[in-house]
Amino acid sequence: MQYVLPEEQESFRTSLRRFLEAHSSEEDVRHVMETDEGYDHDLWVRMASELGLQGIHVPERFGGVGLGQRELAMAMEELGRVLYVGPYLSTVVLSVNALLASGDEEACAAYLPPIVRGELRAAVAFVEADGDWDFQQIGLQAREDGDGRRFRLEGTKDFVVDGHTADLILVLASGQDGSSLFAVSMDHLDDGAVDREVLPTLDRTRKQARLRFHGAPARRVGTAGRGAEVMREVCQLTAVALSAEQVGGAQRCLDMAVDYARQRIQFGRPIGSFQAIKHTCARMSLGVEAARSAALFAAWCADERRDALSVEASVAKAYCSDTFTRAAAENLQIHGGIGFTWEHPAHLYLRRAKASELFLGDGRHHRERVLHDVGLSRTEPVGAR
Amino acid sequence: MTGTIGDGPTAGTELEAFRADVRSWLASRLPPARARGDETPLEIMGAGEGSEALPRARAFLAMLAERGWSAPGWPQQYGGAGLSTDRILALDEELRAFETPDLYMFSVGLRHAGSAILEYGSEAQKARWLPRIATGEEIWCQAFSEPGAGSDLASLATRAERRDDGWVVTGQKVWVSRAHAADWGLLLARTDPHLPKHRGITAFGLDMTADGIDVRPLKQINGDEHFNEVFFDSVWIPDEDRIGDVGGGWSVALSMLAGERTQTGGIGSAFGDDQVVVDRLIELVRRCGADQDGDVRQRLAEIIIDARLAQRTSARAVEVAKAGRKVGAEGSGDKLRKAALLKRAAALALSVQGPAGAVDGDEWANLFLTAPSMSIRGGTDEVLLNVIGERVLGLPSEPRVDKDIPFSELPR
Repeated sequence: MQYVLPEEQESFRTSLRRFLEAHSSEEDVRHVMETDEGYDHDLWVRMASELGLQGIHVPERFGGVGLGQRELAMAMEELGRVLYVGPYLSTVVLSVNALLASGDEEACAAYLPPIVRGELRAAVAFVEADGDWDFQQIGLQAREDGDGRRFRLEGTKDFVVDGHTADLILVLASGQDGSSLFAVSMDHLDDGAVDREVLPTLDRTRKQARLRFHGAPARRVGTAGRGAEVMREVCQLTAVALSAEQVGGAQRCLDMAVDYARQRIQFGRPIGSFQAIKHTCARMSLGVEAARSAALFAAWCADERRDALSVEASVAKAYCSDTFTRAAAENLQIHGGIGFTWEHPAHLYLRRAKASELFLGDGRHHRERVLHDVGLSRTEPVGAR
Repeated sequence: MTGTIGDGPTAGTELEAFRADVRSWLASRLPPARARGDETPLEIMGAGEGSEALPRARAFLAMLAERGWSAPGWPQQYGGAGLSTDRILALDEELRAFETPDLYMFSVGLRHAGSAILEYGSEAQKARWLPRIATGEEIWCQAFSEPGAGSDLASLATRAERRDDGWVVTGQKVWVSRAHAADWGLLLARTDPHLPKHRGITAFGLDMTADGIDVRPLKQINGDEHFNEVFFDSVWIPDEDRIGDVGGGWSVALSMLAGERTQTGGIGSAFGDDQVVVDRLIELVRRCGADQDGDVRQRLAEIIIDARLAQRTSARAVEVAKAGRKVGAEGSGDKLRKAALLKRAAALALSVQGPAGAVDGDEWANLFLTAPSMSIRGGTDEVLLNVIGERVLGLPSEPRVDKDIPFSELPR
């Protein structure tokens, strides 16, 4: 089955949903998003110990649950529904996928078990200020420092999700062998080796940092020269997971809009009985269902048909991004004036929708990728976006 | 109509055995499906087009009917095979591997009318009509809409007055497809104008060879004449051809309309293959040298993605049903998505051809002129959005001003 998960996974979804309703309410979200760390450490540890969330797709030999991208996507959908604030995308999606994709057993053995236990948080620093998701020109440099595995990193990475609090940072850098992936441990670092600047993000539920590396010591992860290639695969897998998160958010927006339309009385009847509102909700529903199909199919491909991952990740990212942004906007509109207030959650979803749309390439970017994959390449160069 | 879904741990092997049986039986009787290529015509099934090669279609149905597979969900005594839902879906999938004739002309009988007769007909009616539908011997048409009763079908005015042991029908139906070739029609008529509109309607099986029936073709904007107006001038219907109770016609209508809108697989499905349209559009964009234009690229990519997701959402609904779970919002929207897709594909196709798009009068121009009907027939976009809003999302309906007033007092 490509879309339907087994009963036991659906039961897990129910448990996860209840857990998040109890521990990641709107009040919790608003509180945590205002903190410097941007996550609740006690909750993070409970997610690991009670639900094994950090180890969903980590192989059992590294202490994980040994499931796959489909189950990871399911978790992301639930987290997206409640706008969970915490380093799940950075640690579990980006970093774990990067470690696994690197094929570096030693690095996996060192870092995956503590990640699974909730003891280590990690971030991946890959994109730079130019916002090029194809890594055509990597500015950050790695130079050898003694033996073949120790390096020093020089340069800047941007838009690093949870980069300001990560214990471990995986970095895509350019060196004499081409591009490679490196690991920088934030433990015992000299002052100034990594300067971490928190960026004022539109989406306050997901922090990003600009990281300036000044001779930061790093160890290479995986094979030399394969960094960009590995990172591209990681971006595809992350796009799949992010699409699932977007479906969760879009569904919540639809649920909010429908609830309000049923209760809000104007002109003597619920506003949902007026066709304009009803049709907007119906169109949102059509969008959410198509988005769900896209995200589920992409996750299935990530597990079962890697040859189709590239195009399906782009189909999902393009469609789910646009759908979530539209759903968040329509939800705000249906709420009228109250939807425009700070206290109403509508804007929190709008911010998450827009930011996740722009992260890893927006709809426009991924539609170009889909065309390339079906044989309609661009012969003229496309500017980095 | 259908049996149970999924029978437990042994279901897998039994279903595989069934599939193998179907495959080998069909393989000895039918050629394999042709690979889609450049010669594949860009027809949009269910948009009024359909092959008139009736004898071939009839022979195909008669052959399938030997195993009860032309109407697989019907009880065996009426020409079906009494199959469960997962076997019906499996049969449908296996059939797609073979070259099968266009069954457009038979789909009313096999699907909507057949299921209505099964649910509301008497034993005598079921025994009389269903086997002949299953073998393709008799074609049915659906006589519902009228010039004054489209989206508001319940406001229909064709009158059936009781006389002796039957009814005398006077009035007019419109948009009746297949009427020119039909043996029978499923007719909705008003039997009591003094009741509120929904309660005074009765369903009938109409012998299309009866005196007083005048079938006239309707010409569509794309030049097709596959629909008809049907005029009734004191047409006699014996009471034994009444389907269901007097005044019970609206329930029969709802059951048929629901059948029109659900995606439950089965042969004779009204909608064609979007992938052919998309593939041909990509070819056209290349041929016109428009494949480097940024705006064209984005519009094309959106169409490619929408077509994939429409197909995937239908497949997902089928999977959910197969897994024994309740189909929710994923089960709605097929027709809405398809209509939007075809309109946008046609517009882009003409756009990349420039002025030549308006001169050649080719298949894309035809699609441009046919696509608007997809948003209207079988439930308009607006009505379908209402259905999603109300039945799927639970939003309240708009206040109705005509529901409880006698039909004879309604403004019309």
